[in-house]
Amino acid sequence: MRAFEIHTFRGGKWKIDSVFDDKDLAMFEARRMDESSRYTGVRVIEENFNESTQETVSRTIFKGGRAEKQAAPNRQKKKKTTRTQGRRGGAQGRKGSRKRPVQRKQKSGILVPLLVLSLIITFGFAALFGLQQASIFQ
Amino acid sequence: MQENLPENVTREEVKSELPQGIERRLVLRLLNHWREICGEREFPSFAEIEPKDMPDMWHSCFVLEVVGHENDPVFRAAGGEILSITPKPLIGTTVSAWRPETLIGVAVSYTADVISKEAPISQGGEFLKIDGTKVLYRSILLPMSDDGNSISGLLGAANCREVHEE
Repeated sequence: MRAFEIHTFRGGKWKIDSVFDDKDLAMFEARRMDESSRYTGVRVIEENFNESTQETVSRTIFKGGRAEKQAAPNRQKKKKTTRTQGRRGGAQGRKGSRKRPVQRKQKSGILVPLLVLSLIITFGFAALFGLQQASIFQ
Repeated sequence: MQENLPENVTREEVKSELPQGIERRLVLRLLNHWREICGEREFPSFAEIEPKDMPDMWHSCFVLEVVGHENDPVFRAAGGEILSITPKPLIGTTVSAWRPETLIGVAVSYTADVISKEAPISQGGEFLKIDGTKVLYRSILLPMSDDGNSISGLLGAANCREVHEE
């Protein structure tokens, strides 16, 4: 069993305005209502009742332009925020990329003393080994 | 297309019964009338319904009293078209007295849904009359309230047309 509920946004919440068993009629009326300046929001919810499972599945099949327009600035705000965040993220990213060479420098700064230390240790062991060999031959 | 009409026949453009720009469908016209009376309120009252204010609709309308008859509302008034097509007297009868083989029977078959949803409901479809004639119909039931809060009655409307299949 299918029903098409027209909802209007009144007093800060969505309320059932009328119910139709015919999709075309519901859509026609919802569009007409949306074109009038009386309602701040109009939507149509399709309700499908499955008698075997006793479950109702609902989905929005129409959302009025005025409601969309109202939602649009909010969405744009969100988009702007996201974009700004994106920019911020990008700037951070760029900053991050600027930092990367510094980090590399830091890495290379550690690497050089490590190399020097390992060379000293190697030469030290070699010298010790050499002295040991020399003492054996004496 | 060539037509073989007699010479004395004059051609007249078929015009709609309603002026241009007026909604053709009865149920939508009545729903809009109900909304206009309603304004910002949840429901209008019967005191605000004047048959003379809706001459293009009242003939297909009927009124159901709900208070005291919540489970089986009673017909209290009806327009001429409704009264003329009901096979037996309508006023004073209950909703359950009408079988789904009649227009009024199918038009009031969902009164309980309107009372529980507290919103206008429109239903349509087809039914078979006792003689087997197929009838297409559309109906609407609108909640009314005398105190503005609880439903005291329903304003309904229905129209139909027979379909003769060859």
